[in-house]
Amino acid sequence: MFSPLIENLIQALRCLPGVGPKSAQRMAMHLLERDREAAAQLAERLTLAIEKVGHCSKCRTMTEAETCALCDNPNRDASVLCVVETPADVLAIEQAGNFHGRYFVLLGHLSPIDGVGPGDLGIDLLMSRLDSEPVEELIIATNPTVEGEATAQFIAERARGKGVKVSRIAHGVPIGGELEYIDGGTLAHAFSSRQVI
Amino acid sequence: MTQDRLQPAFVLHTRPFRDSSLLVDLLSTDLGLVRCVARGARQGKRRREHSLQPFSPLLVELLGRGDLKTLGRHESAGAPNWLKGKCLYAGLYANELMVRLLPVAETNVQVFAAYQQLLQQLVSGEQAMEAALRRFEVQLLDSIGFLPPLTRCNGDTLAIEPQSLYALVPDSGFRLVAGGAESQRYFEYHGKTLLAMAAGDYSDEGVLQEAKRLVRNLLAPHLGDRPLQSRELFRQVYDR
Repeated sequence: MFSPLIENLIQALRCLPGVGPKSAQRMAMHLLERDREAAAQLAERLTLAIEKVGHCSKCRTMTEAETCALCDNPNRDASVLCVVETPADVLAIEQAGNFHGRYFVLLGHLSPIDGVGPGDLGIDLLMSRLDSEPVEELIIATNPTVEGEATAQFIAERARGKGVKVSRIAHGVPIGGELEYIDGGTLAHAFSSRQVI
Repeated sequence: MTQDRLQPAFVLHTRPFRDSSLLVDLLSTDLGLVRCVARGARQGKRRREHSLQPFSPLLVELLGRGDLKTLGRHESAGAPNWLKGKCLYAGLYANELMVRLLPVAETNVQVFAAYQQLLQQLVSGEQAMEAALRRFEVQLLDSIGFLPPLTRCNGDTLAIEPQSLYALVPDSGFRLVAGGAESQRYFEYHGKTLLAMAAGDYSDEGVLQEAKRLVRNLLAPHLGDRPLQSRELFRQVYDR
């Protein structure tokens, strides 16, 4: 129906999440018909980003520099290190705004059946950071899933004996939630990690 | 055949599928190991994904005719088993074992019951873990026909005696080893161990160790040259 170049563009746009054949077609038409300038800019920036953006050599989050802005920031508390699964988790915690330490991004979680092991998560790099930096507390903020928990325990076991306090973020009832609608697992957790007030 | 009713099941493994769905490996009562698509399970604040965690008892409805089912209604069927420490890795090991060994879409009530029992024991703590794992492995091997008879040997002609030594011969079961019971080699086992395994009694530490070796030998040919990742993981965490 379309000429090969347009067809190729539509196919390429479908790599984006949530974009099916119809939306891809609309995007391609929009870029070519109405906004060629923006299209050229998009192409240019995409190429540049793909070429330059890599991982921070300290925390493994995405950045085009050798180390990311968070790792370079001298005002961040170097004695607390927070371990998360993805760069998006870093963003979520930063937006919450009450953590002022540094991060380590695993870029995944342990999943034996999928063949994802400790080597893929840069855990050796994390351990060498514990050795070389003045870290006092390691906060493990992997997701409260079975794989996230397996990852958390793995890191905790490895960090044992390094003289670092290892903690795990709490799981429980979300603020504004109603107990009636919360699943049993979360409630059980909320009860077992209750606090004295 | 379309399954139109809820059946008990456990999630063994999930992985992302397309934009918002999950591919789920389930162990169900009616269909044994079965793979299904949970549509939209990663959408809407990921609410449904919470109930699709491994080790949690579920009631599920499986739709569709092919090997790949669609997950219909599903709900929690009891408190989730939250495993800790070594038991968590043991649970992951059991899941990987089933995903690797069980035939797809074949009813296997024995394994389902054995898995339920295993989870109960894993929740209770690490003391009973090794024995619980051995019981589960033996049941799993037995249910898929990979377990040689543990009470008879030499082609079903002799009963196994506790004091004698037996060698495992691939595809034909155990054979009585003539001579001394001391010169034990890697593929040789005491009659005592075999009888204890048949009875599911692992109170003896020696039996437990030997049973572990036997189970590994029995599993090895069926796992091929791809090692179990969860076993490797367990080794990396605890055998340092």
